[in-house]
Amino acid sequence: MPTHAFSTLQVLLRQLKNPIFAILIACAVVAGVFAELKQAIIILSMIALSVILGFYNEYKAEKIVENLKHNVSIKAVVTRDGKATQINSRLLVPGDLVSVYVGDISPADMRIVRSKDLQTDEATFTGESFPVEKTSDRLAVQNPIPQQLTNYLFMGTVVVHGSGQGIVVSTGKNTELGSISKSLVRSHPETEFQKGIRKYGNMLIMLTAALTIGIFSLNFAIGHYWLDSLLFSLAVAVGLVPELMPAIVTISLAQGAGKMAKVKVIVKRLVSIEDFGNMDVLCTDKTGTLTEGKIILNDCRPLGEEDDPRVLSYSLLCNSAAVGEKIVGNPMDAAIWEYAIENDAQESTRSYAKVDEIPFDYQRRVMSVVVKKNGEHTLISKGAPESIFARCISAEIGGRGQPMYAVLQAINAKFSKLSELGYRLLAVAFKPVEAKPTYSVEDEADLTLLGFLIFTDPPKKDAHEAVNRLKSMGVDMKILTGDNELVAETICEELKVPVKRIVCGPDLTQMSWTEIKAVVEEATIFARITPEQKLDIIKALKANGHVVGYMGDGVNDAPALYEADVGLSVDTAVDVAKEAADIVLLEKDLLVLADGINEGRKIFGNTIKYILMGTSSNFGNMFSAAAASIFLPFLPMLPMQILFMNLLYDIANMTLPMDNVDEEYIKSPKRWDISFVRKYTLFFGPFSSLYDFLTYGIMLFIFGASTPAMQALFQSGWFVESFWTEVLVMFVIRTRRIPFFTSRPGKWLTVLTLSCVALGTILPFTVFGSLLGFAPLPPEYWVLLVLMVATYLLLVDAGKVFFYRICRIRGSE
Amino acid sequence: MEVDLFTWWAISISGGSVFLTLVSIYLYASSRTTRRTRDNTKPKIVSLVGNFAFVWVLLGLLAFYIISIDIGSAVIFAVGNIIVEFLLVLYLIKHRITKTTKKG
Repeated sequence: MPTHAFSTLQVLLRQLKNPIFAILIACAVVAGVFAELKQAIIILSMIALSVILGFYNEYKAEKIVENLKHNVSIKAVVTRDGKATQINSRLLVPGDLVSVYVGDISPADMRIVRSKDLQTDEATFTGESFPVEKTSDRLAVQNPIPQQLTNYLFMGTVVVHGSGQGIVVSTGKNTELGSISKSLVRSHPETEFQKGIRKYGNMLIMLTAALTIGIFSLNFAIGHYWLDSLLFSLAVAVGLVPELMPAIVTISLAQGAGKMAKVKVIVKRLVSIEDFGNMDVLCTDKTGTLTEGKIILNDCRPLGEEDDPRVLSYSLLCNSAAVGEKIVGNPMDAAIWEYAIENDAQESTRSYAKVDEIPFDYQRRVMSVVVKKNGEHTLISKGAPESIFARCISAEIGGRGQPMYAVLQAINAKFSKLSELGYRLLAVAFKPVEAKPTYSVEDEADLTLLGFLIFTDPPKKDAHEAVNRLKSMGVDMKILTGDNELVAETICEELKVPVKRIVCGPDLTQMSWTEIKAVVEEATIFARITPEQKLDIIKALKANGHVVGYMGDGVNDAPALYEADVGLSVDTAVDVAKEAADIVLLEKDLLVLADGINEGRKIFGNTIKYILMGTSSNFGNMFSAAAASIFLPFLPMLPMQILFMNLLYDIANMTLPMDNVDEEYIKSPKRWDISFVRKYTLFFGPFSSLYDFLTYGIMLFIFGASTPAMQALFQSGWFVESFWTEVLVMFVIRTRRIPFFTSRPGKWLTVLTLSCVALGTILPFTVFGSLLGFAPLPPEYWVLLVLMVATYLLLVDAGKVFFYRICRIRGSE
Repeated sequence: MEVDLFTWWAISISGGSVFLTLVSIYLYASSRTTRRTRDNTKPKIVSLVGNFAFVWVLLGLLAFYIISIDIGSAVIFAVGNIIVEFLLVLYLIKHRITKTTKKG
């Protein structure tokens, strides 16, 4: 395995790369040095919280690799110089001869040189639910994919039957499993949401830098004192930065994670919740996610049309499973018993007595028993259809015996079709025999074919409904499986997932990156694919602009789970898959996926509300402050007044994560669209500025506050108006509908917001207000303020009609 | 020539309104460009006037605010606001959306 040492400090330092932290730290320093220490402490707390969250996520990613290494640290029986010894698998080298037995985990990738009834469980590796038979035979196919390597043992797969010996071909990081672990030795890729936050941070840096430099230069140029100008421009910068955004996001995510935990969905990586909501493509593994990942007996089918209970009762008699409190043994034999118990058919064997048994072996691929009933002896054989066919001379169809040669072609066709559809079949045959002390394999001849046992890995009960719900929510589903295309297609048919195109792994290998990007858009099923190809498909979908979710439970799914914007796994998954996943479903209930998506969309919606308000209302206020500072003989608002307003505004926003979200918003996935945020700011920002200018007019020309002696009155008037408009517009902006009438805000949001408005309103009349430089406002002001703010809110609402309905602007809103 | 405070103020608020009008025209024009690629219809003058109702209200408000502030009458300012609010409510009723909400 790759040696991977990671430094905790490095992981911590990487968290500070986000540009928004640079602004926030600068603001904290400015606020702490020049203004209020409390403001600086709040900003620094937010930074610390975000850093801790980021650090935790990345640190956990590094731990995945360690866990993977730990998982595969196993012992191996190696034969060197003719002596068999047990050594740590890390000490194996290519060329070693290694022996494996039932229950062993393959310690390396090996070419099998000797095998006896060898079967391995590769489900977590290739997605194959049934045990895979392994032999030392040469392969018939050219350029085989891992699923076709029947003479090869993969590191990490489990021997479930028989024994074998193999020559080590590759060890550690050079094995298939090693290549999977290598792909995990890197940071978690940035999610769409994180990318959006980063772009937004960059936009803010440019806006803030331009405004701060512009305001300072202009104020200084027109003769304002340099320190006042600097403090004012920095206060405006602080006013622009949504320092509460990390907290709003964290509160939203933590609250969402709490709600999801109640429906048994564990969010391991908080930041993935928003991408979960915005996910528009869900790629899923088949085995264990869409299907139960367990073999069940689907049907006992006689050759004729009429039902024949002997097919089941004979296969119960000819069965190696041990039935006690639990049914243990060969998975297919156990499935027969489970089927019989479920259908109350186990009693059918009571009247028989077992006389002898000829055990199963991999040369014959047949098991036989001799049973006695009413003094008559019957030999029953059960096994691989082609092996049973070879031992039959007749077939019983509709109660009548027919020569095998006459019906073999039709039976073979039926068998092949079912096999291609992903079913596993066993054939059951019988013949009356004479009583004798022992029976041998020679007795397995001249049999009469009775019927088939049809096994399947069934789709989960709620899978169909879950797929439908996801579809109605705008989430496109794609199946990525190691199984063949027919098996995958059958599952799609059962789940009623329309299949547009099927692409197979070997075809994908021949394609260029451009072709892969095109094909991932069209195809529904990707069959016979390797873990690396799963990764390529997810990368291509992401490159095409999709928010991609991946659901899987095997070792082979770990890289894809890691690469996807949202990695989903189930509690029964292997540890590596669970570690790599962002979200783990504790119960195999796929319907909770839709609930989780809804939750993610609500959280995203509330985060976007905060951002839209921050960049429109805040920006408008700060822009008007900047403009006023040029023509007024005094500062329109003192730096500490701006900082206090900012703090009060942030408190009002604290309950925004608990706000209601309109129903239509969560109907489809949303994207972080920075151009939409820009358009929104350009359009809605000036509204706030216009009413700020209007307040200047009222204060200057109606109340006569136009001299430095009257600046406290001017600043109070603008503070109250600015705060009212900034906070109350939240009720208009939070929805595309008519505020309050058709879209009710959250209870706590309303209470807290109105409380903050009340606080801001009485502030100029308080001692604390006078300390901040405010003065009481005349009664006429309040009448004008109410009318003016009402017009403002109605005008913004009318602006929404123009913006959304007439210009039809769509985006992340 | 020294510009008095009122002129500065009028220039500022007019500048803000003109900026908002230009942004509205830009957003409308870019949305028409996108739609024209789908349907080939040209906007009629009547619908153009209707679509920009919001802008006419905005410009009307600007003129009213400058005049009322120039006069320095709180009463005229208050009455004008009430009339505009009435007009805006009518405009919004015309474009009402009725749907329910889900708890967030």
